[in-house]
Amino acid sequence: MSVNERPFPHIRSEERSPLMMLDTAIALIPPFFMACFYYGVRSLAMGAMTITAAICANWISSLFNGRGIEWWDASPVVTGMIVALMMPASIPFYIPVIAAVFGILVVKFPFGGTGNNLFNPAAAGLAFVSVCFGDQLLSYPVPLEPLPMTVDEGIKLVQGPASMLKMGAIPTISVEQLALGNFAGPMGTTNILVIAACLVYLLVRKNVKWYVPAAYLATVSCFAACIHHENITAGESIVLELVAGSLMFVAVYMLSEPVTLPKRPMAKVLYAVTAGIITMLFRYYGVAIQSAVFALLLTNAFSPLFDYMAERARVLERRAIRENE
Amino acid sequence: MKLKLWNTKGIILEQKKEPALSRDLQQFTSSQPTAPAIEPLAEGEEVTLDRLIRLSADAAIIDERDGVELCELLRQWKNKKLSRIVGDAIDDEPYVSSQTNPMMKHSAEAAYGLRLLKTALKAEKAYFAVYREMHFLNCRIPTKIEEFPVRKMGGKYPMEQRAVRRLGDDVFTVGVCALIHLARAANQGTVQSTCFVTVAGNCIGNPCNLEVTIGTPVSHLLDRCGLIMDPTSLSIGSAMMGILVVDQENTLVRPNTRAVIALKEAKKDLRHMDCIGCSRCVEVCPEGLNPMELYRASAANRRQTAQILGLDCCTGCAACSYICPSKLELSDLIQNKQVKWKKEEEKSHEC
Repeated sequence: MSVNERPFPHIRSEERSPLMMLDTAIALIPPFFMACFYYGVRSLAMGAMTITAAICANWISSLFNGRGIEWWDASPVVTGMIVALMMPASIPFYIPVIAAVFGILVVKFPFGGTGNNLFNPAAAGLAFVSVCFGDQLLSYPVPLEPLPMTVDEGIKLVQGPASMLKMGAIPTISVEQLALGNFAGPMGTTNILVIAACLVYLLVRKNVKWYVPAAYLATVSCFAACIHHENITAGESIVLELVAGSLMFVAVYMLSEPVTLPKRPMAKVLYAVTAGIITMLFRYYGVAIQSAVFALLLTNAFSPLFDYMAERARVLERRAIRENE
Repeated sequence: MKLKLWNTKGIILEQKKEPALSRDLQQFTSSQPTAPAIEPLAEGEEVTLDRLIRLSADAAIIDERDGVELCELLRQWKNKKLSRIVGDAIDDEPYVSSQTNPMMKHSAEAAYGLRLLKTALKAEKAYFAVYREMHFLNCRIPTKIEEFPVRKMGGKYPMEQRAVRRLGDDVFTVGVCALIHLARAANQGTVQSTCFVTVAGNCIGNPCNLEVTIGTPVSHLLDRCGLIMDPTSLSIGSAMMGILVVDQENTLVRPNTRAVIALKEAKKDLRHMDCIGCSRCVEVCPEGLNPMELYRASAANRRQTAQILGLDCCTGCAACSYICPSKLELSDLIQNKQVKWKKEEEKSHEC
């Protein structure tokens, strides 16, 4: 009989990192189906290409890092899926591919690969292509009109409600259409009900802590209720701000990314509130349309600071208890 | 007011105590009890603390929870006031039931031992404490053993450590097995030569609790209970904090051995991955530490950083290693560094 010499504990939980990543990937599948329903098979093809590019980029970076190919690592799949879902369905295939590859090769790989990145690779990739191909990312096809594989100039492209809000106009979309995601926007971010259902799945699987998206959405709602267009009520303003852009998608899938999220609960709440404040400041006073993505990137930079503050608070608390004893 | 919010942290472990807990406690002793080796309590003799200290010292009774001699524990309570005595049968680790089972099967002896201590220490109250989070049991945990109530203490693992702390400074806690041995010493004048051990795990054919002679090799226990398959992990003590057994022939049962656990793990569970920063270790650490940062600081030999992060507060409960989805050996490395740096510090003080 030969026993392995692994130290204690001799029992382990069944949770494994690849399964956690896979859970997020599973939660990203329903938005893909909705995108396919609204925009046709092209959205699935775009997703497949982006995921393939992300996986290849990750393998290349793993080889350069000396780790070898890590088959279990599902993080590039998640990155690829998020990047694809944040794009208009009509965008040329090479743009999401560039975003995913940039995210992995430039933002993730130099810091040490999976688990070591300072910034969210998907958000960084999206920010990069927003800067490089800004116009193409802001024109969206009309939903329920299936797109051909090759998109030419004949396709009707419109602006999304987020751009209209930014320009001071009020989008005229009914609440039902907003809830069903039947309006122009990035292909995976408009289906609020589907995203909410996926959030429940992620909460049950403990991949997302409820207070992170709650703190983020509450901060955004407070801003929207306090500062809004004079022709709409505070309630309408909240609904429009939450639903119109990619804010909900960011709150569910990107904000709770474990690597960039601080580790202590208080730091997480602080992080989410900061992200909410920066998002709304970008929305009201910034120039970028994808404000949630840029805000997330900026907040990523504060994450170590929040961790440090929370850790410092715990050290002081421990010292106070020791002195009391 | 002390801020101890993290006291609710920890992990809920699937207990898997059956069928060992419900089965009869079996004898696995190498020799028949010999003639009384020490002077038992005479009938009608007054029970004083000094007498019990002498008795437990002569009988070499060891508290099974930490391996400390019972007489040492009792000496600490000389000239001290206490409010309660708790017979600790909180088996909060999976598979282990070597306190709860003897408490039920040798209830008269356990109650007599507790009664002796209550009289000697002039305590107002005395009761037994068992772990509450035990589900799907084939037997019923009694609510009273003779005149002593059996209280259930709930909470996440590591409950036993925390329960002792939570009970307060004026409460004397003692292991149930030590109480049984005290009762035997007082009644029959026997020296402690046995201990109670749970032999369990998914590789054991006949999981049960045994009363074993101290010094029995682990291999004998495995032969007694039968291995149905070769284990990949064999530990002595417990499944969470137990010591790995590499040589079964020369690993012997000690007075504080509570379990022998033989487990077979799937190969995929043995693979290590990189930390993905999921912060589950932070969420479960009962001491409110950040095991991930401690692990990184320890791995990089950054002693000062590790000490600021609370390295000395780590109790080695291994909740972090259990929960880690990347299967990192957090607890092992942190504990190793804690011991190593402590030794270095002591050496430098001596110099």
